[in-house]
Amino acid sequence: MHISDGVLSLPVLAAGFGGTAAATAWTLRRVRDDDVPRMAVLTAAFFVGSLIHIPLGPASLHLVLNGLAGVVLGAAAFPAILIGLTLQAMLFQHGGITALGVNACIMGLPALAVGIPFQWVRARVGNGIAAALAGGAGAAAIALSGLALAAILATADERFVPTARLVLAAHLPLMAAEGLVTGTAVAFLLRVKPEMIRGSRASRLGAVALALGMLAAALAPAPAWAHRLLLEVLSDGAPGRYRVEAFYADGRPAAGARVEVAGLAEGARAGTTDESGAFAFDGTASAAEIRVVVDAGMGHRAEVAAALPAAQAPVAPSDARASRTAVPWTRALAGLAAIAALAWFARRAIRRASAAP
Amino acid sequence: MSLEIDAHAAGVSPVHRWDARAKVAAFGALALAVASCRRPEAGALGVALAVAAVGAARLPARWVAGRLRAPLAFLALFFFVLPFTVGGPAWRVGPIALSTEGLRLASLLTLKGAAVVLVTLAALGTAPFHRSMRALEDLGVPRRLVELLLFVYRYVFVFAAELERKRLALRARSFGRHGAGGIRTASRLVGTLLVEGLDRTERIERAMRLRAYTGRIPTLEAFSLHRGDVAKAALTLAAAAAVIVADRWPR
Repeated sequence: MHISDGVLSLPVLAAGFGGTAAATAWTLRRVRDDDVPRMAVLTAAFFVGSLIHIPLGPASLHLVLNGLAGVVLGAAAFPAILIGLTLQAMLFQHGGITALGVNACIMGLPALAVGIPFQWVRARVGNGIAAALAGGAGAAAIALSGLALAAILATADERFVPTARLVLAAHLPLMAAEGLVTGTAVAFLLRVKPEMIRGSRASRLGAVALALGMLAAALAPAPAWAHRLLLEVLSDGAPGRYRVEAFYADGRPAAGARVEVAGLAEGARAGTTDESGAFAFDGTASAAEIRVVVDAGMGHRAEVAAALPAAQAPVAPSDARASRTAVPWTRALAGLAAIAALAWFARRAIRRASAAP
Repeated sequence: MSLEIDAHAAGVSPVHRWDARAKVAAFGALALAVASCRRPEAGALGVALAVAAVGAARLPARWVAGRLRAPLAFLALFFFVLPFTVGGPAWRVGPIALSTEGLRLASLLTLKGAAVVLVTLAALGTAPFHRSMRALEDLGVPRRLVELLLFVYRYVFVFAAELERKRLALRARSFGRHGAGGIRTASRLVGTLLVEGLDRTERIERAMRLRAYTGRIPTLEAFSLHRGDVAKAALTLAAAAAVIVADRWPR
């Protein structure tokens, strides 16, 4: 699973390229010039391996193999994955050139985070345990990738939050499949070519700490997202009376926040919200839209330009708010079902087309 | 679909004649400008400019459409999620309420994605792959990374043919209807690819050493920058600026 061109904003893309540059510089340092052909051929093998699809019910999964790359290649897995993604973007237009940095971090850092500890442990345990651990490493790498992807989507844009949760749910079957494939493939390699899974006695705890630290940095905005300040302008029941409600993305009201309302015919209004995060004001709009700014301190600031709502009975804020703070599970599931059905029909159509002589 | 991105590198067009370094850098700036858009109108302008670039490169429309299919299929998923999950004013179609903001966001993402892919095709589809890679090296991408990319590009085709042969062999022995059925078959397929890859590595390494390989592939590519190249780059950068202005201007 990766992010396509066009989804993320420029700062996120830039941060992705920065992280990728740092990790590549660090991992390429330990590749010698004449190691290049060896690494390249294995990278090509991994790239082609990730083209294998596993049929699963109506859809099919396509392998990511970042856990296996980490297990076999260790630190060299990061440049291998970066190159695999670059070629994928260049050859099939999967992923994308502008999102390359972000995608390399999403796939590559988990490979380092599981691969380097695996190589360290591998040097100390027998084959059976090593294969089982490799399975765990494969599943863990996908879990970390899924978490990082969801966290980046959710922090990039508040409106992607439900999408991010869907992405996370979609990673569960992939996690199971990758764990099984990585475990079985390593068991196979241990029988056929044991020197490929050789492990390393050298402790690389610093490297693991680096990879985990960078992943944590990618995940860190997730709790910050829960503290994102949102606001709504609601009718307060009577004509000309309105209410601003400020709340955080996890649904808590923002009490004591400073509110400024501009664009009213009677002049600007200012004040602070009460315990329930509300601030009442009256007036008539001088333009089509009024401008409301709420500042809860500590960098929590929200601003909207909105038309004043029509006078009506007080709107229960939870109705409007639920759509922004909660996930519409039923609609999301219906959407998933629609996607699955479409995928199934598309698959059948493709199979028919390719079966024709 | 064939893997070769440079299948039409031998064409004749102003984009083909353009110096590869200036082309890759200028189209890169255009792609980033499009990626920074926040309004669908600017995204549409980006698509129009990208179509103009592909048109100027005289790339076959069928080939371009085939290349667009996969990214558009991915981006289309947003149309099935965002109109239902984003709040705000809704557009009612019978019993279904589609959020207009969600529709705008989904079209923004699709337009941006399509524009970046088209720009990529115009940039990489108009020169042999190795020349584009040398251009990247001249633009500051680490040499080792470029060398790796060239190598991997070379062997991806070898392994893809290998995988196809194995799939055929599996199908002939009734392993699933799609070539690889089930986890165990798939993972042994991966394992075999890796084992054969490692064996092949050793042979290739020896062969290359025999041919005096010391870690650097010598190249015959020589770049030269003419006035026309600079003019084309300036035109492309102006297009990138236009996209940014169209995105920010009417607040």
